[in-house]
This record gives sequence, structure tokens and C-alpha cells, in this order.
Amino acid sequence: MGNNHQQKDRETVLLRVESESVPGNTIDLAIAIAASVQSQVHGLFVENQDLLRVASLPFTREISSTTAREHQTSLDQMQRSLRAVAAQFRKSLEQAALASQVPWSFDYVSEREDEAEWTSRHGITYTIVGNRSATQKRPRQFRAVLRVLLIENHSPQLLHALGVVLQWFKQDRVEVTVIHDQANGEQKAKLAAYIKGLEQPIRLIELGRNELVKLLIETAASYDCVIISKYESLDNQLLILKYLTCPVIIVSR
Amino acid sequence: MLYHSCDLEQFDFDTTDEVEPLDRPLGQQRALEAIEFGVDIDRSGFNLFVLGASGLGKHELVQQILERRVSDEQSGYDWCYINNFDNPQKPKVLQLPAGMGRQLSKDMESLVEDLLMSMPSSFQSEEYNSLRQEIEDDLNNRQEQAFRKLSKDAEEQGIAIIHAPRGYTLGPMVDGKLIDPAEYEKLPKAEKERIEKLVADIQLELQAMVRNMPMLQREHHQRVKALNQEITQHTVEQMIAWIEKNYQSYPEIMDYLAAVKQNAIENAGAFLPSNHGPENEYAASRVKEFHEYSVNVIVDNQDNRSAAIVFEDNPTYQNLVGRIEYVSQMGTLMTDFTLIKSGALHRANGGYLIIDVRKLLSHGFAWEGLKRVLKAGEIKIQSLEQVLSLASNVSLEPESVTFNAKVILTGDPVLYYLLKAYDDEFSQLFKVTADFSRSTDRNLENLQLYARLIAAIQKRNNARALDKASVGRVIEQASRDAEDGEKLSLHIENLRDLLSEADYWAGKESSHVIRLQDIEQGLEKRRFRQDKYHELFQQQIARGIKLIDTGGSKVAQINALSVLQIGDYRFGQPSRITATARLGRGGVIDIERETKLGGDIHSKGVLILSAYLANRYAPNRPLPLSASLTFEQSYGQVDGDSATAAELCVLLSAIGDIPLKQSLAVTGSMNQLGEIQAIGGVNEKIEGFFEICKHRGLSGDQGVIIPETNRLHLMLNNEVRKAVDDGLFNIYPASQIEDVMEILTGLPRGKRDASGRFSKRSFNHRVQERIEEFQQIQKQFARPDQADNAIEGRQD
Repeated sequence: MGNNHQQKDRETVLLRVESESVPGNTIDLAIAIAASVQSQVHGLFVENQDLLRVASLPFTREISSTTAREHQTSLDQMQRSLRAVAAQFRKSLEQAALASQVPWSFDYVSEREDEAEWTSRHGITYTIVGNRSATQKRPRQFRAVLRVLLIENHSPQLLHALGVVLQWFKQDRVEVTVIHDQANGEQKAKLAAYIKGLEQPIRLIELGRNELVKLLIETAASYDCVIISKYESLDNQLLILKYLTCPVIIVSR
Repeated sequence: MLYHSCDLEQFDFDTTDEVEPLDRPLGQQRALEAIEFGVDIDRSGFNLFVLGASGLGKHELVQQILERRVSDEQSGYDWCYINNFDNPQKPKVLQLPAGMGRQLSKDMESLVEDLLMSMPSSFQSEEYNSLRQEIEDDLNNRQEQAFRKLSKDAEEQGIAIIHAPRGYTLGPMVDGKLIDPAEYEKLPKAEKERIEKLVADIQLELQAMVRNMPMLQREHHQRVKALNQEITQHTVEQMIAWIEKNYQSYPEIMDYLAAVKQNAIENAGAFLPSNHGPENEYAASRVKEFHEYSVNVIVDNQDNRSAAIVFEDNPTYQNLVGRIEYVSQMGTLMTDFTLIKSGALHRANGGYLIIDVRKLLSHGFAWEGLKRVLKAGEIKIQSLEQVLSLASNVSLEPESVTFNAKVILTGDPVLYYLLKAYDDEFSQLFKVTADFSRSTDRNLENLQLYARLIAAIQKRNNARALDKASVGRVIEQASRDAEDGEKLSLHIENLRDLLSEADYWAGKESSHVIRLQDIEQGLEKRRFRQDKYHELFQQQIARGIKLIDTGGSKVAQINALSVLQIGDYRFGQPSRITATARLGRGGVIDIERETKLGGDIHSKGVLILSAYLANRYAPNRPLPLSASLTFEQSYGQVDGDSATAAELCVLLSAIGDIPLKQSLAVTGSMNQLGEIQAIGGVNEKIEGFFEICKHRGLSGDQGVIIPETNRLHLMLNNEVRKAVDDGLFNIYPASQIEDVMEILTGLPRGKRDASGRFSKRSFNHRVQERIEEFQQIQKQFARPDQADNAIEGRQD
């Protein structure tokens, strides 16, 4: 896939997509974060190998999510469909980036190994993973409160991401749920000071890590955005990606 | 008496500033009572027709009476058109107390503004957002849960549901991982069949779940709609409540507000902004978009304290009945209830409408439109195209307005009698006639009242006061205008104009009052302005182009007198009539009639004199002559019978070969018995002949012979009167044609003896003798069997 404005030394905000289309607001969020740290945004479409594997089976059908009609499919057809989704993603990313004058680039990778190799070559500051809802997500416009889930790792980049998210959603009422180590009082104070410095009334809910699972099971649908560290445990990351359908921002530091 | 002077001694004032202005009409008692009756009676069909010549003050009197009356009457209703939400093509009408229309209109504007501000607020409130988000989340959760459950069930059976570009696809798993195609191929057939069947079954479930999504969407939509309706209803009801409080006593308004409420709830989305902005800024500017909630006040009586008096000066059909206007939008003509416009009938509703009937009849279909309203008792606004069924396009059909007002038509008598004769509906709809008089008696009481009338007009026109002498002169002029020394003209406009002109001339001489000479100046200057053609005619006579003798005697030639009217100006003109007489059987030929220049009345006069002639001079035998009469040098229409006496005299002169004095002119109608009857324009006729004689030099034997019965009409100008007083000019009243002949011929009429023969040396004898001569001659020409037969003179 063609790359534009690739600058190897520049920090990058990665917007990662697999088989599904990306809502426009996720692309905008990624661009907002890139602009805030003066980095470029890179769209990465990762070919879903599970999908291709299934498509190769002789009995596989694709069921339309709007009409429920079944369509015969094949490996070639599925690849073509994925490329079409990727092309649309690339186009949306290009338009949004140009409008915001943020450098952008795009890649299409077939294997996760390629993805790993790609990410290791680039300095990724933030990775945004888009909506993973099984069904078409309803708009959040009627939510009176912006709810953000922050899994604290005490990094400035995490707090910076929080600031960008709050600014981007422009909601008057905000509730931030922070999962962190209860014992670390200094970090708590640092967080509290940061939030105070945002000059916006924010309701802060502080929970321990042992409450994360219960939180995800019970209230996952109510969150508008999640910010976690790349170094969060893999189990927690998988849980988050499984239960939460809102955009997830993974901070690399 | 040649002139009925006004005795100034009867007036006890020096100027009209001391005179109490007349505040009621003079001499119009009949009309006054009729108008008062007509405006007072409250019955269908009792509208008024006020008839009389122009200038008699019809409008003023009607206006005066109505203004006095309406001060005790309440003002009319306000009439409004409102939207019919069930059928916008048929706007509804509201009849409201005066002033309420405007108030309701303002209240509705405020309501729309309130809704524009409050509706967005309601839909942005925390309560609404919270409820709405609940609905959204519920849908999301249900959809998500359905999928997760299916996903979990599928996983438990070893099947994974995976997102695909167009939806979903299913794949078998082994040890929690999707099977590789190569591995799948290695599976036993039975296992493959099992997997494929399992995939098919789960696929069916997946499809059923997807198919159910629209039902969830529908349910979601219904819930959102119900929520919106609840919020809207609550908001609208609150906003309307304060208006409803003001109009609870008016069921029609309450019904309307209920309809508004319903409509606003159903169309709540229209009140939500497309662009976000401060509500209070955009609300006021958007009010005009919601004209379906506006109130079209077509008649607003807020500022009227009494019933309306409407004078429609341009009574076209639309100006009377109202109209529906259209606006062009994107190449199409559009309309709605806000474009309904009132007509004069609407504005006069509850009061009075005054229309000039000539103007009404001159506009197509206006009269028919007015009658339709009066008969139906309601005003239905329709275009002429609709009335005439010329248009079949869809337009508005506004609800009719109940009509209850008095219509007063004004006009001249000709139109009244034409309508009476040819329009049956007219009599049914205009049962009251107010007939204005042209003149009133010149008695002592009326003279005083006339002086007060002069004072009233003078003050109303901000003219100078008149001194006593000028008041007297004005009164005399009023008699002159009435053509009767014993009458006073009631032509108010003439009087007003005379005072205005006299005031002008008084001002020219820096006088503080209007004097006698100012009145005379005004009259003289007015005459001069209009006198051009009179002067031209006189010049023609003076220069001998038109032949008129004013001296000597001639046989078969006489000076007759006629009145010409050009515009407002009348003047007298002498005309020469000549006659011929010869043996024959043709009777009297009226040359004017033969050439179709003679009118019917003139022809009647000639027939009358023919009958007189035959009866007087040949009662027992045929009249053996053919005679002809003509107006010399006359090339236009001749009508009227005021020259009958002159025509008979010249005919007798021709028959009897008797010279007639050319120093005299004759005017008078005549009946079959020879009696001289009154004619019109006697003053102008005398003055017209006088001017010719004066120009040639008054000899003292010149004059005019007039009917005796016209004596009381004499209001001759000063010049003529002085000439008569000095013996230089003569006025001879006559009651019999033989009186006229005696004056003209200088011969006596004679007496008829027992044998029927007139005295010798009388003019009758000469006529009789000549006729007998004709009879003798005729016998010589007649066949023996026709000797004693004579055909009576041919009568046309």
C-alpha cells in the first residue's frame, strides 16, 4: 500500500484496524492525539487471518448484518472485500489528516507478524483501536456525562491522552474512573493535581485493580473511551478489548 | 317683477361671523327623514339609495347623520382568518371583540417564539438526554447481548462467529482456534458433515438474530417517538396554558388553540434548530417561518371607538368583497390564509358602507357581487374567475364572514330609476329611498336659514365672513340657479365654489370680509372663464354670419330663443325661424323632423300647432295648405317645445302674409287651445337676445315675449333690468298665442261673429281670408268628385 508523508524519525500515532470499518470519530480522535504531540498518524490495516482461513473453507458463507442474506464467499472474494474496507479506511484517514494538516501514512499488512515487525520499526506513542461492537453502535450524543476509564501506569503520556480525550469530546460533565494501585499515594496526588489543572469539573472514581473485571462485566457499555498502557497485563488488555466496544487508546510509554 | 331682490332688512347681522352656522340640512326634510329611518331600521333589505343631482350635499348629509349616530354605537368586531389544520384549503374565520384580533395575533407570535426557545431546551435537558440515552443504551445492550449469547453458544459448540466486511461469517474451531483449511480436509467425512450442519444451524440462528434487529430498531424508534411526544406535549401545554387563560370565555379561540397544540406536538421537530446557536437570538427571526400559527387580522377595530363608516371610492368587485393574494415561489403561485385581504364590506361590517352607484355599476361584476352579499347575509371571498367558473385550479375557500351592515348607495335619479325598472333584486335590497330636492321655497324662514347655511360653509371652508349685502347677493344667485324667484337652489357645491371664489377676490383686494362686489366679481369671472363659445356665437351674429334681425318687420320670419349648455355654462341664443305656406294638402311640414334633426318633443310641438291651426281656422273643412317650418342656419339637433309659440306665429305670418316685428323675440310652449305654457331658461334666453340688441344699439322697441307663467322665474341681470327700467328694452308676458300675435303684428286679434268670420283688420281675419282663398283655388284644381273632399294635413 502506498505511504505518504512517512517520516521515520517522527513519533507516530497508530490507528489500528482489522476487518471492520472505522467510525469517523475514531479517526478524528487519532488525528487529535497526533496533532497534540505533533506527530504523524499512521493507519494500519491488519488483514484478519482468521477471516481468510474461514473463507477458504468450502461451506463458508457471509451473512449480511443488515439483510441477513447469505452470500457465498471464497478466499479471493474475502481478500477483495478486506482490501475494499482498507481502501475506504485509507481514504477517510487521508481526508481527515489533510483537513487537520497532520502528516499521515497508511499500511496494509497481511500477518500479525508483519504488524509486529512494522511497529518495532516505528516509534509508536499511542495506538488507537477502534470500535469493536458486534452491532452498529448507537450515537452517544444523548449522554450527559463523558465516561473515561483510565488504567493508570503513572506515565505523563497517559495523562496527556486523557487531556486530549477530554478536549476532543467537549463534554461539560466528565467522569473519570481510574484503576490504579491503591497504595501509591504519590501517584494519586499527581493524578489529582493533573486533573485539577485541567480546569474542568471532573468526577474522579478511584478503584483498585482487583475491581477491574467486575467493572468491565457490569458497566463496560457505559464508557466512551479507555486509556491503558501497553505494559498493562495481557489478560487485562484482552479483557478490555473483549468487553469494551468504545475506542481504546494504548499508550506505549 | 324682473328680479326678486333679497330684502337685507330682515337680517340683523353685519357679517356672517355673527351668524350661528346651520348645523342641519336645509330644505331636505324628505331626504333627511328617509336617511334617519333607513339607518335606524334593523331589517334585512332596508338598505338606502340616496338619489339627487351631484352637488346637493348628499354625501355630507349622510356622513353627518352617520357620525352623529355611530358615536352611540359600539365599534364593530375584529375579523380574523386562522389556519384550518385539518384542511388548510378552507381557512376558518374568527369573529372577535374589537381589539382582540391584534392581541391574539401578538399572543400567537409570542407562543411561536416561546416554543422556538423552549422546545430545544426541552430536548437538550438532562432529563431528556438521560431518558434518551437509556433508550439508546438499551438497544445497544440488547443487540450486543443477543450477539454475545449467540457467540457464546456457538463457541461452546466449537463454532466461532467472526466479523466480516459485509457482516459475519462462521468458522469451526479446534482447541479454541479456528481450523486451518488443510486440517479441515483431513477430517473424516462424518465430522465434516457434523461441522457443516452445526455451522448451518448456527447460521440460521444468526440470520434470525439479524432479521430481528429491525424489530428492535422499530421498538427503539417507537420508544423514542413516545418520549419525544411526551416531552413535546409537556412543553407545548405549558407554553399554551398562559394564552388559554386569556381566552377561556371564547370557545372558538379555545378550539383553535387546541388545534394549534395538537399540530405543534405533531410537528415538534420544526421547532428544533438546524444550526445550533443561542436560542434567544434565532427564535425571534424564525417566528415568521411558522405562519401556519399566525392570525390574519383582516379587520382590526382596536383603534375604533364606534361603528365603522366606510366610503369605498373605488368599488371594484375585489375592493368590495376582498381577495386572495398569491406569491410566486420557485415559479409557482402559492397562497395561504395569511394572504386573504379584506374588502370594504368586511371593514364596514357592523357599521355603514357608502358607495357611489355610478362607480359601482361601471366596474364589472361589482354590483352582482354586492347583491350576492346582501342576499346571503355573508361575505364569501372568491376570485372572479371562481365566481364565473373560469378557473379550475385549486385555491383557497375561506369560511364566509357573516355580514351585518347598512349599505348606502348614492347617485343621480336616472340610475335609480333604471335599476328600479330593470333589476328586480334592487327593489328587494334597497327599500329606502332618500330623494334630495334641488331647491326649496324662498320664504322668510328659509332666508334666515340660508344665511346660516352660508355662515356654516364659510366657516367650514375657512373663508372670510360675508357682509350683509353679499349674503343678499348670494341668496339672489341661489334663486337664479333655481331658475325661480320664489325658490332657493340647494346646490351646496355651487354655493361653496361661489364663496371660495369670492373669498379669493376679497383677498386680492385685502378686504377682511367678502363684499357684494367680491360676489359679483366671482360670478363675472366665472362666467368669463366659461363664456368662450357664447362669445363666438354672439360674434357670428354681430358679424352677420348668422342672420338675426333686431329691427323692422318681415313676413314669415321670427326670432325664437333657445338655451345652449356647454359644460356647466348655459346661455341664450336667438334663432331665426321661417315658414312657408302654399296651397296644398300636406299640412305643416317640420323640416327639422324630416331631416332627422328634430327631437320628439319638438315634433310634438309642431303637431300641436298644426292641430290649433286647423281647429282655429278650418274646423269644418279640410285645411287646404302645405306649410313648412325650419330653424334657419341650424345644423344640430333641435328639441323641446319652447319654440312652439314662435313657430305658430311665423306660420300665421306666412299664411296671412302679415309682417312680424323683428325687434322682438318669442319664447313659449303652447297647447292645442293656444295657451302659452312655461319654458325653461327664461333668464338666459332674455339676456341672450338683449346682448344682440345691445350690441347693435338698443332702440327701445326691442324685447322678448315670454309666457306669463314664467314671470316668477325671472332673475334677470342688472344690465337688462336697467335697460327695462330706462325703457330701452321690454319684457312682454303673454298667456295666449293671440296675445303674442298682437304684440308681434301690432294688429288686434279681432272677434268672430256669428258666421264665424273674424273682424276685419285683425290678423285672424287675414289668416282666415287667405285660407279661404286657398280653398277656392283648391276647388278649381279638384276633380268634381273630389271637390268637397280634402285630405287633412299630413301628420307625421
